[in-house]
Amino acid sequence: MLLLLVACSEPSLPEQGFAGLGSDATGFAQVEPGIEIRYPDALNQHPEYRIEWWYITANLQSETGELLGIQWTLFRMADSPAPQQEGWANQQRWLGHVGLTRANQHLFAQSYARGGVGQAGVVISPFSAWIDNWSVSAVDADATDFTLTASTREFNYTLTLSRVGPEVLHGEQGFSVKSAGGQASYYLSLPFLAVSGSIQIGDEHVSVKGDAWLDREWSSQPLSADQQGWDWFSLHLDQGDKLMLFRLRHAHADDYYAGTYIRADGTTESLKPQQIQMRPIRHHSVANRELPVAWQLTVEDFGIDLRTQALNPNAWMATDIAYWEGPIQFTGSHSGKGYLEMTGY
Amino acid sequence: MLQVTRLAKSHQTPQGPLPLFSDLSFDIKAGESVALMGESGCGKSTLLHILAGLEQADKGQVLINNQDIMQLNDSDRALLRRNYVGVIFQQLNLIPSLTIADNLAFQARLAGTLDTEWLHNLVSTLGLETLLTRYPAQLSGGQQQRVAIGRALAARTPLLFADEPTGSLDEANAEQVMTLMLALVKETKSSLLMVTHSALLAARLERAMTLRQGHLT
Amino acid sequence: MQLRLPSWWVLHALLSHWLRHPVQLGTLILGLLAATALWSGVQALNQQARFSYEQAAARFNNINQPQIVSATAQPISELDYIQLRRSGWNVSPLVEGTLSLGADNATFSIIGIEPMTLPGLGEAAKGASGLPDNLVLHRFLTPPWEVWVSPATFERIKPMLSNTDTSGFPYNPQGKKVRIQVSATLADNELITDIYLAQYWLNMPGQFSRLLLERSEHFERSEHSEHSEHVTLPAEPAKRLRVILPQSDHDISRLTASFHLNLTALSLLAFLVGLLMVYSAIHLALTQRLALRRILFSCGVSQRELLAWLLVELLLLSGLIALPGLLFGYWIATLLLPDLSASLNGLYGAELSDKLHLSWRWYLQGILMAWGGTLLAATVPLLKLIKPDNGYLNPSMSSPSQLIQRNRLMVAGLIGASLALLMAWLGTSLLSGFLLLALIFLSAALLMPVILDALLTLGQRYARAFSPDSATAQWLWADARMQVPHLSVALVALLLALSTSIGVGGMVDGFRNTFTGWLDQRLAAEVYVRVDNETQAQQVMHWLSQYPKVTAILPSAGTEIQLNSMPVELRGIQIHSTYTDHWPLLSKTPQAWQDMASGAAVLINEQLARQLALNIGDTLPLAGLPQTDFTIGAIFSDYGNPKGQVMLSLATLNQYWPDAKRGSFALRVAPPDVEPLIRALTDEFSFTQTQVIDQQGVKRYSLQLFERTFAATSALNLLVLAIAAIALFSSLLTLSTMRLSQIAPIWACGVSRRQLVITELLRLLLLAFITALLAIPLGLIISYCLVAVINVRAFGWALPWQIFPMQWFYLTLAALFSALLAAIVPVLKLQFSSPGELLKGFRDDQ
Repeated sequence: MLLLLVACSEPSLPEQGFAGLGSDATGFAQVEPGIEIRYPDALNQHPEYRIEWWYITANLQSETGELLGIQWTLFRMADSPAPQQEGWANQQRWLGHVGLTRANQHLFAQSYARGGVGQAGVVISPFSAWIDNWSVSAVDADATDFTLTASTREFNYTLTLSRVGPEVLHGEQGFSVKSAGGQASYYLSLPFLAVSGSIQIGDEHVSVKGDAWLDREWSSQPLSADQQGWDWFSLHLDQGDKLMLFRLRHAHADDYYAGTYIRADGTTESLKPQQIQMRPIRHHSVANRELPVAWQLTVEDFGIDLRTQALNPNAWMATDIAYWEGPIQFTGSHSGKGYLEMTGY
Repeated sequence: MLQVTRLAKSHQTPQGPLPLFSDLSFDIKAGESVALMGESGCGKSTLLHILAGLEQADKGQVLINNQDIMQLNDSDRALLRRNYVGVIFQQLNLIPSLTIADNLAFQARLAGTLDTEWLHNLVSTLGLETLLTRYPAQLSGGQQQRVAIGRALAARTPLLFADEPTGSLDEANAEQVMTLMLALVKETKSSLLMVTHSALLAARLERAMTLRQGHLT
Repeated sequence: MQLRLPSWWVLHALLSHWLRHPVQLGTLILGLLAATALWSGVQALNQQARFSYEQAAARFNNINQPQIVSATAQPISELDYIQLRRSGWNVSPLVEGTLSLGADNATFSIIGIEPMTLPGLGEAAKGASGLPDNLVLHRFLTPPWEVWVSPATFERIKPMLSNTDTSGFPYNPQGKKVRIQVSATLADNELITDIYLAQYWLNMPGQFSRLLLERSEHFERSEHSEHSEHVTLPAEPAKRLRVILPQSDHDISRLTASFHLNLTALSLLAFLVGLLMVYSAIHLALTQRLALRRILFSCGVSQRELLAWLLVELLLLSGLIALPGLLFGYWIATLLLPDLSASLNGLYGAELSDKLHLSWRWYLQGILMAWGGTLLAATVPLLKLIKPDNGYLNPSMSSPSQLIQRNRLMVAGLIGASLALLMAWLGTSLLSGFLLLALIFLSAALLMPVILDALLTLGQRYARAFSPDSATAQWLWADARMQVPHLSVALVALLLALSTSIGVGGMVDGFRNTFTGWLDQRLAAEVYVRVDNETQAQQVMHWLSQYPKVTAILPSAGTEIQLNSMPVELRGIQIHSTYTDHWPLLSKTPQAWQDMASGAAVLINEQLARQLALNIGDTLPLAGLPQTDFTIGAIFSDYGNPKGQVMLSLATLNQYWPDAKRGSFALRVAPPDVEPLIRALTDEFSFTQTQVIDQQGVKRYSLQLFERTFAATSALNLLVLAIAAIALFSSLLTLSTMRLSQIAPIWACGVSRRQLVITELLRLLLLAFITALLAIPLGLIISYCLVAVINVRAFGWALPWQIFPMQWFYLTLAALFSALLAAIVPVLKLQFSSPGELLKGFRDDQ
């Protein structure tokens, strides 16, 4: 889900939230409840808002049964709210992150771009989002099937994503609150995406199949100033239900919890903060930090009590703005797989 | 030969000038040998240095060969020393870089009065024949003093000043050196003023003076 | 070994000696200060150079990195750039050009960068990309935008900032003033700004000058070609673009290595001369403390304990002195840096930043050198302290131990000299060349006291023969002999300094003569024009053919290849009498020029000939193709070029290396037409002063570069001489206390003080004169080693060995003068010493 930006701009100050996401948003459109969010328009960019991202994770399995995970992310951030400028004067900045995780390997890359010249961007009808030669494009105007591709020195992948269920709006019809103080974003997901395609890692070619999850989120100020980072889960339960949970960690107050329970038919239940319990059960040392790579997740009202573990606890994205992002598996009341993102450690 | 009139000298000390003597007058005739005695620190060495033109007095007159050395500048005083005065100190009389032969001839050569025959005579009398090519540092104390005497006498200066010439020698050596020196002084007919505190030695000279509390007796 | 607390008093007793002998302490301080300062100063320069090379290699607009350039006369289009990015090429655009600003139309390079795609971007990599650390991307990319300049450039543009008319600093596209930011890490005369502003100011909308590729093994140049086969551009842009891969990373460091080794060798010599002073101070301090040693032993201090405390004392003192020494070193480096950077830039194109960046290693190295040097200087004195022999106490030249020592010195010196001969015969590397020099110096230093004594004995004998009765003359010579052991260290220092001056001075002057003559031959054309690209080349060519007064247009083109993994320049010229009549050839086959014209032969420079051990008539395979095996027609001298060069006919070059760039033209015109031609060319093509230059201009520039190259050498040379003079001074000052008792008997015999003073002076001048005389043959040997061994191995060219007797004369005068200066204080001390002081010697010590 969320991440950053401003990556290459001022270093993040502790009281501005992770990666400066808590900075002032004067002049940009504000996130209000009651706005109707339509698909596939929601896939388009919203330059009147300060930041947004397209976020795809996929839990994959090769023909030999090996488990893999991939990540594909495009962030947009505006320097100023003025009308879009032409060419190099354009105030949009783009950042792409791609990752590939296996049990004993974690590869990643990043790329920066400026708006206005075509190096990165997002268009609709049909939908396409790209930075350099990393792109996700809808095959049709309805955006039911996508081609996802990324290529780096060490790996590349081309995957086909097919919608096998409806899109999902989180929070109050897509208005997703991010703190007790009322900060919020618009948040839509495609949790029902079937994946197939191929991955090349060095000289090795792997055919894969699996499940993907696409997140769309945009806002002008999604974090309150003292929120330091978050722990976010997207879970594919084996019987077909999906679960999204996150915790925003506050420096000086109680953590903020939210989530959505998504049934296999696409109907959703927003989870209230007090319904959710997330408890780290094992820490792992990576990049000189201690990260909770195994969790106990409990939503008693839905009979959920899971213990998660990472496919590769070293799934550290050592990009300019660094965080942990990798595939996980879980057992307990339910079994299944998913993705975990941990920032601000 | 040497006439001293109303000579005065005081030492500079941190407490102010300390008078050694303030009114000394005496003569030494040609060929006369005189002993200068006195307690340690009474100023007898200083007096000898003044007479040899090595040190300045505060007041008075020192006539050597009718020249007042007090009135001469450094160069003229050196010239006077070269031609009229031979000095033998208690130690370190020799030029370390020169051989014994060169040391012996040094002052005579300076004065242009080198008499090789006389030098030969001196060398054999002083028993230095085997030492001529050596350097001072290779000689014993007694040998060094014999060379010093030889050097002073080689120039045949009319005046000889000796400051305890055997003071740093053992008794046997001292006796031998002294005997030689006195015999040779006789032969050159030079006047001799010798500082000593040995009454025995003083008795071997023609006359003795004692410097006591700034006065000669 | 156990150091009990009370034994601190041993250190106290040892240290008290220095306070009572300030001259010795001064000698120790000066020697070590000079040694540390000169060594660390030069090391600071070397480190600075290395730092700059690394900086330059990582810099965003470094020319020597993988990049894509236009294959046509047109700049690169934005569309091609986007297409490359979208094909996965990690490229970053660069816009470059010149802006004339201000009332006087001063020119500035403007460099527009796109920081978000710049290779090696990211907070950690910012310093490495050559961008200032404090550049804030957000401010750089947003209105009113920023221009980054060096402090010197800022001073130049400052007056324009307040002007509002056309002579003011240009505004941004919104008509507002841009923000000016200053950073010392930038090169002068450069305006660094965002690509948006650069395109706007240079009127290059949608266009780029070049595209930078990420540095990686992927883009390493292969052995024989600058185009790597596995790097293939997408089909469409490939029509208009060309990939250029860099020479291997360390070219600059490799090319400049010899230069830095030379500097290091000179600083090492300075260090050793300084150590000679340290040695004499320590030696004397230990001699004078022999009595103290006896007392300490009798008080129950063991030999080991004493030795340990002496070491503690020396390390303490030298550590304390090394710190200000480092400061001086820093200061020396600051003084020499401008000349050094000018010459490195001129010779190798290496840019040095003008601010010293020193790492902790430099400080550590400086202190360790001071300690190591002190211990080295203290070894012999300390060994003698453990086993004092009589000679040590009794410094008369003829004592048996002195004779033994003299013989030992002679044997050691002769062994050193034989080793040097062996080294001259067998050595091939630059390092062995320096070893040869070191051995020559060493054996000269060892033999010097022996030779000096022999000469003085001879002098003494003659003095005796000619004026047997001159006592003072004999004393003059005899005492000179006696002083040799005491002054020999200082005299050896003087000998080394003088002979280095003669050697280096001879080499430099000889080089200057050769170089000037060579320039006259080499620069036979009247005007030289350098163009930026092929389009301009054609335009210039066309324009010149219309200009009636030009009697010959001689275009040349060049490219660079690798031979034996060393960079080698290929230069194609149009054969013309300008070359055939004048070009400075060292050796040639009879038909060299004709064969070259026919494409069968090439000319190579001396550097390449030596590097690859080639001679005329040999075959030189270029580019590995059968048709590119050429005969070597001639070898030409090519001073100042760090690289090997091959000259071929323009047609041959174009035939086999179609990529070769047409870079420059040599023009023949009658002398009166030079000025008008240059003016016309400048007006027509807005050339800068460095692009169109007349023969005199090139010569002036070359000679200026020559002088600046040897400026550091001369300065170091002078400093070494100064140290030697100081060493002599401190030795004399130390000796003067001892002298009184030696002089007193003479004085007592009737030699006036004035005469004594004159004799003392004469004696010292005699010693300095003999030293200078000895320094001349030694200097000539050194000069020969420099031109025939060191230069060949360091730079690849030999120089004729020339001698400059006037130099010897001046250096002899300098030696006499420094001896006079060194003697003034001790002699005045003698002149004004009271008789009492002179008489002290005659009194019993007790």
